[in-house]
Amino acid sequence: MQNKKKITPYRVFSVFNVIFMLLLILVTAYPVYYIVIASFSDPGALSRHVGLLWMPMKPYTLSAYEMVFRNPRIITGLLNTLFVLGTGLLINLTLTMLGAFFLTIKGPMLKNAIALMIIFTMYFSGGMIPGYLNIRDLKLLDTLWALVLPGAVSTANLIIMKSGFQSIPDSLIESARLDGGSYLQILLRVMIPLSKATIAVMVLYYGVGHWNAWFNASIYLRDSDKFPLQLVVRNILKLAGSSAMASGAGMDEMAQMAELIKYALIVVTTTPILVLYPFLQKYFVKGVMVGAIKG
Amino acid sequence: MKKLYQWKKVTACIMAAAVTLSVCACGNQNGDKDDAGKTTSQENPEASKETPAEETSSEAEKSEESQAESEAGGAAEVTYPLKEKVHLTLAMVDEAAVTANAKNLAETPFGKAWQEATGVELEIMQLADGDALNLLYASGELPDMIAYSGYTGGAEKAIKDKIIQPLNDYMQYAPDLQAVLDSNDLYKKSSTTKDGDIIGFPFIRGDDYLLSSAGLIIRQDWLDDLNLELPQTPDDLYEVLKAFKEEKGAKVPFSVGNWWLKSIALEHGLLTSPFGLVKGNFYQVDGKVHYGYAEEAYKDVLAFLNKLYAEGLLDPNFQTVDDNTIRANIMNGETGVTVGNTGGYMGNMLQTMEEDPTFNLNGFGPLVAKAGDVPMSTHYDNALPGKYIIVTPSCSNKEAAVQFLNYGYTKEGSLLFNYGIEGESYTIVDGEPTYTDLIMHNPDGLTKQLALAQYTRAWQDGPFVQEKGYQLQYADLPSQKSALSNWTRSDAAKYNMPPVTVAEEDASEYSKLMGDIGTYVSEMTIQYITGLEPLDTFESKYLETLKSMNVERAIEMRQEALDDFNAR
Repeated sequence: MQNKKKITPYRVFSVFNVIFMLLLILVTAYPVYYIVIASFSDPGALSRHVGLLWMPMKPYTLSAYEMVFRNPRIITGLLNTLFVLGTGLLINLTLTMLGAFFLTIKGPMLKNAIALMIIFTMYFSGGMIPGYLNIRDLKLLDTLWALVLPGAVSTANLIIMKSGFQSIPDSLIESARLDGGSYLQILLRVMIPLSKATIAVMVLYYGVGHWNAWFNASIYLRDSDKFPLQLVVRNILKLAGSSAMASGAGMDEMAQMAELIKYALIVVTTTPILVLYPFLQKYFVKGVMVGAIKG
Repeated sequence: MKKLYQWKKVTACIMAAAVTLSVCACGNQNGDKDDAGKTTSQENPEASKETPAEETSSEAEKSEESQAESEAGGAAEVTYPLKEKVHLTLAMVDEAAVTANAKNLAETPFGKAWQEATGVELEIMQLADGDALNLLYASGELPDMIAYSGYTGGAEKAIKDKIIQPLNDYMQYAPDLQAVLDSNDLYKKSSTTKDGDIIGFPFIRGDDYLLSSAGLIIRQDWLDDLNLELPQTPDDLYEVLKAFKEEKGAKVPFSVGNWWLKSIALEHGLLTSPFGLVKGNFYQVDGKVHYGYAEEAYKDVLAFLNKLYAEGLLDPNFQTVDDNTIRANIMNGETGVTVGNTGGYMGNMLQTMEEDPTFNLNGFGPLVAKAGDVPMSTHYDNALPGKYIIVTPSCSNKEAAVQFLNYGYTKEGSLLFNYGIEGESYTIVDGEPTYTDLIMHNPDGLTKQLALAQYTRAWQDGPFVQEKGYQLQYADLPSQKSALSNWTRSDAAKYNMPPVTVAEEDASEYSKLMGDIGTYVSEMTIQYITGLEPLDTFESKYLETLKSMNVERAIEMRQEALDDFNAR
């Protein structure tokens, strides 16, 4: 029996390390926790409360959620976002994989020149107004396609995907060629099955991007029935903020509910993506590190 | 051994959770930043109004203006509904209060009534925000009408860039707007450019009662307990604060956020009158422009605030304290006096404390030197806040568009825009239009604002004259009404700068000058209040530095703009 443990520098370090990390977790997790419990609190009690909050303020209420879901725009917004997410992801993944595959295989003419042109777009963009005029002339204004097609390939993601493909030994591609496989077959049967981790990362990056996107929608859309969720949320928050702050005098429960609605909206809009993360986590580290230098 | 393993497992789980959360947090960063930017811009409506780009400038060409008048003079009355069936498109920035319950403005009960009354088929082009509107301007493909609230380079530039169609040649189709503009010199000058072009159909706040919405707020129940009157002079306020501290146990009797202190209390002169200063910002005395922060009298204002600060009556955290904390402090009995507005402050707190019959608030007017004096300034907004519905040069049927927009200024139109539909959203009680329970206690649980957004435009803006009756019924708590009537009693109209801005060619020099000066003034104000900088240096350091920063040039530019405006 070894009851007595020696105090070694490593142990001391571990103890402090764990304490430090736990504090770090507390600091990171508390705001999230606060938002969740605040969204169930009584708005009056909440606005009287000063300092940290560990339990929802009584009487508990779901009224903020009621107000959020009574807004029909939330539902249409969710449907629009899901459409953009679904279609967008499909287009993103297809194009990114095709592009990365092209940049990986040996042989194509002008490959380096094309690669250079692609990387160029990472640093320089046309700007907002030319972008807008382009979308207008393509007759994409006020359609959901304006949210899907521009930026169908993100250069940064393309490079990650390419690094993922490059980590597959050339000999595999060569042997597949020898067996008579076409490039499409190589992509579908060799490259993709071997890069599942990277693809998961792509899904995550593109997916979160689509979920959080509001800016393109705010400049390209003209019809509130087409607004995606985040834009609707942004407008509601703006409304709540203005009635609490601005010149509009008046006694309005909106002003008092504003904070609560804010919290409820954050919960409603981040929960789906928060739930998704742990499932993709195991691929995440593996996939995103593919491009990095390994020691 | 097994225990240790389990412990490790638990730690690992927590770590994983932390990583997840931090990754999510990163994902949201952009959104947060945007929110932050938005808040500042919202909290600072005055600041954005001061930028020259958004306002109109002066120098009138009388000949053109009078020509327009004579043309309009012979105008016949417009008969509604219009004879021909017209389809018009109006571009406007999305208002969540409207779209919370309808597809867009045209499909609200208000929009339908407007269309029915005028016989115009209205289509709304919904823009998500100001950026989208700027892009629309840039694209050059304009709808028939636009809800306009400013343009880089001002209205003159917008006319030059073919965004605004000046109404001068079309005023005979807008006899009711013409009558409103003729009724008040300020209305007419404000909605005309320096070249004499009429910009569009303005939103007009038709009563002084609608111009103030913020001021000094006090715990009325404490005053009653202590048998004190509403403070009027600085000495009154000092005594009241002292009593609150000693007898009511208020830790920070006077708490006010930095923004409210500077942008409302000082800039609008809530505390400056007794010291012979109108207000901190620009003001005019008999046509001569002054910049309050560069006046010697400002020293006495700072000395007063410094005294409150030194004796612990003014919140020592005034630079950092936020609205929520101040409200909580007032409700918890830590604070008795603040600066705030009728809605977010008074309404919010009164409703929260509804169950506590002893809690009561009131508003008191800007301080004065002698009890009974009328303060020189108060929180005072311009009657024309710079919001117009404009007709574009590419409008398919300008005559019809002008007649359509003129409706808001007619008698029937004014009722519709202010009160909605008779029998539904309002009824006439004792000769006054009165909101029904559909608005005041909506059966579907809509708030007053959301209900008003479906039936009226009084809650926001539009091409009409806003009536006092709206505010009286919207802010209907006795304390709110009392506060508003206390806040609106002032000579502000005499000293207020009309909506003018410096000439286009001076604009960049002006904004650079004022940017630096504004920053310096804010910094020094805080230092003098907190006593970091002794007040003895006020003349030798503060005023001298302002002079060397060329504050006189800035005043001169404002003076030119004002002269131009007065000459319109």
